[in-house]
Amino acid sequence: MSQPPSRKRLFELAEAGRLSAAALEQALVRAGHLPDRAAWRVFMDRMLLALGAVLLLAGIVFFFAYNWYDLPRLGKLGLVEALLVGAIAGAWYRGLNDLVGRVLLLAAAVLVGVFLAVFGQVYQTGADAYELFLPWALFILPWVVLGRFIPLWLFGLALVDVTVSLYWEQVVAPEMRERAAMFLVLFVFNAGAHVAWAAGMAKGVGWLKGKWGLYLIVILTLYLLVVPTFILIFDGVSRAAGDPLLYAVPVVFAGYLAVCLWYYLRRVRDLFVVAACLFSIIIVDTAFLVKVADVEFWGFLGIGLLVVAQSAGAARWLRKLGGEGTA
Amino acid sequence: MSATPHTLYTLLEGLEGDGLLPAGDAARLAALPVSEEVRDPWYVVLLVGAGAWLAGILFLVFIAGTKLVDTSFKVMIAGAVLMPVALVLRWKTKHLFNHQLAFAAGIAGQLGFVLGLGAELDFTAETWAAAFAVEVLLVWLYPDFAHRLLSTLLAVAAAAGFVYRLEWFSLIHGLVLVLAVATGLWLYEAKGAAGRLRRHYRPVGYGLAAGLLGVLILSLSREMIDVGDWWKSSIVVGGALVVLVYQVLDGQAVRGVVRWGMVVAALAVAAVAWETPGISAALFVLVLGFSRGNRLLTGAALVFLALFVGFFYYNLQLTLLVKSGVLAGSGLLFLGLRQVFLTMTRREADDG
Repeated sequence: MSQPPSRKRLFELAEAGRLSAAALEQALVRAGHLPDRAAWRVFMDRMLLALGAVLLLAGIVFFFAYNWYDLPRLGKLGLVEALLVGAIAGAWYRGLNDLVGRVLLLAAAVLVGVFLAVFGQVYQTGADAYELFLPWALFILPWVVLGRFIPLWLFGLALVDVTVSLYWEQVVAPEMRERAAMFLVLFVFNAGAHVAWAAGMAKGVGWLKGKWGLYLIVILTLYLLVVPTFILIFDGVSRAAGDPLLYAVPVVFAGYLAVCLWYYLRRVRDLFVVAACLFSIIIVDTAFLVKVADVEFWGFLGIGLLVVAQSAGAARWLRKLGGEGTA
Repeated sequence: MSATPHTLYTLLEGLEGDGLLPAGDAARLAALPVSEEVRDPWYVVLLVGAGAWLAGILFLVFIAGTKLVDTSFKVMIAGAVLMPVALVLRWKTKHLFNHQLAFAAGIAGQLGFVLGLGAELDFTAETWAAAFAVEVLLVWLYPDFAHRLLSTLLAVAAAAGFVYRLEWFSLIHGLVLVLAVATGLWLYEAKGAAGRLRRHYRPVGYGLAAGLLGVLILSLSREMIDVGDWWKSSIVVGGALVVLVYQVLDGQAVRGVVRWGMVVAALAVAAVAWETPGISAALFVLVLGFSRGNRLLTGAALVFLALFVGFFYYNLQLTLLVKSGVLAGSGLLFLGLRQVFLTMTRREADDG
């Protein structure tokens, strides 16, 4: 009798023929599952702010990307500096507890990059691309820490990832033969972000409650391990001879999976992360079997059956763990 | 969406009081045990679908590798045989392994049938019409959420393939119109849940929404299909967005500044994203998802919105300088609209 009127339960009753369409609609309204006037107001406010800010920033970025010879050097730099100072002043004025203040801080973080790019363009520094991204990432680091804003956090992480990738491409291994180390370095940064996020959530940090950012990081981190594992599987020993760190990737992959599965099963129940880990295992072991078994066509039937068994097993386990779903 | 003070029982009691439930039903329904029928979270549906897809491809490689099936005609026949076999396996068994095996065999069957038929007919419009018919039939017959969603998506893809092979590219706008109207049926979700199509409406609804957004991905690359006049689709989805916003807010008794503000914003989006109808379409699905309190639909729409906004720049057939002006101008327009909206809602609240 005391169970909550969850959306899922109400739909269950309707789908079992116990609630009419009119009764279900009313139940959804009364239980607060449909938005009221206040919710629509917030929705519209945020949509207009997000669309407006993204398009305006994109416009500013492309304005300076345009090779605009008519504008004097100092004019270009002055203009972007004025915008940057304006964004910072606006963020300071509105404060970081206000959504507009945080959006302005994000805008300032983007404008730092625009400033560095214009500086490079004006003074023809001839710097490699990573030399733009590295100071950019470093300069905005304090704002990322202070901003308490998920989009800013993810933007900072994306800058770090781009910097490392470009550094590898342009300095360490221009022919991109020794890529395992790059993937491992990227893994360290992203797994670090994952750990920091999880620790923040565990401590009840309010702005880290939304899980979508965490899920993005988990998917990206798994991707950073699956790709070099695929390289090892398909390019094999010949590739690893020139890039011995490739052998470390499966070990790191297994370790990350083990830690994720332990944490998200035992400490904090989060089945999305568990499902992502299980899926990455399925695709990697399928690739391994296809390559290593060097199969004839009968083998494909066997591996297909194994994929069926694994995905069915994973679904069964997740259902058992989840109890009730949310789709 | 405010927090609810109710328990299920008090909520049902209220419905009973208003004559929406027969007398005595509230206590009986609140005491019913929770259904044992599994309603998977979206990521489990995705995992099951992706696993079946992967296994289906491996099965197809196996079939193509056997000496028995060595022509495209035989591949088509093998596919046509596999589909009913998969259906029977799904209907007749209850074990999850068999369900997943049936799903994978069904995928192999569909791919084999379409690829075999396509090789025979050189992938003419008839191939895609047949693929469309098969997928619609499977949506109806195959009793599985993930499979119905996938079949709906494949039916939309087949319809797009049909239009492509006819080389009558303007028909794509008609397809967009049909998809937008069909996706709008989410508004009648309650009728779907309580009606005869209660097993179909959700997977088909998700498939249609994804299909609408998927078809408009074509507008991002002029190399894929040069429809050339995507503004027609912009009118279609922009109009659908405006009608949706008006109707939804009217239905939920949200009137005055909030409603008119949203209608104006929808018009502004449709006008600005003239060459990128995906932006209006993503907002259409976003508003739909938000209005139904459906986080999955809302989340998917946000992902597509980010994608379409990201490509907006590339679709503008203007010089770089003018492009930057259009982008910045659009941004200022939306920020200005927001300011007007906030001022007016504040004034409306002050007036009581």
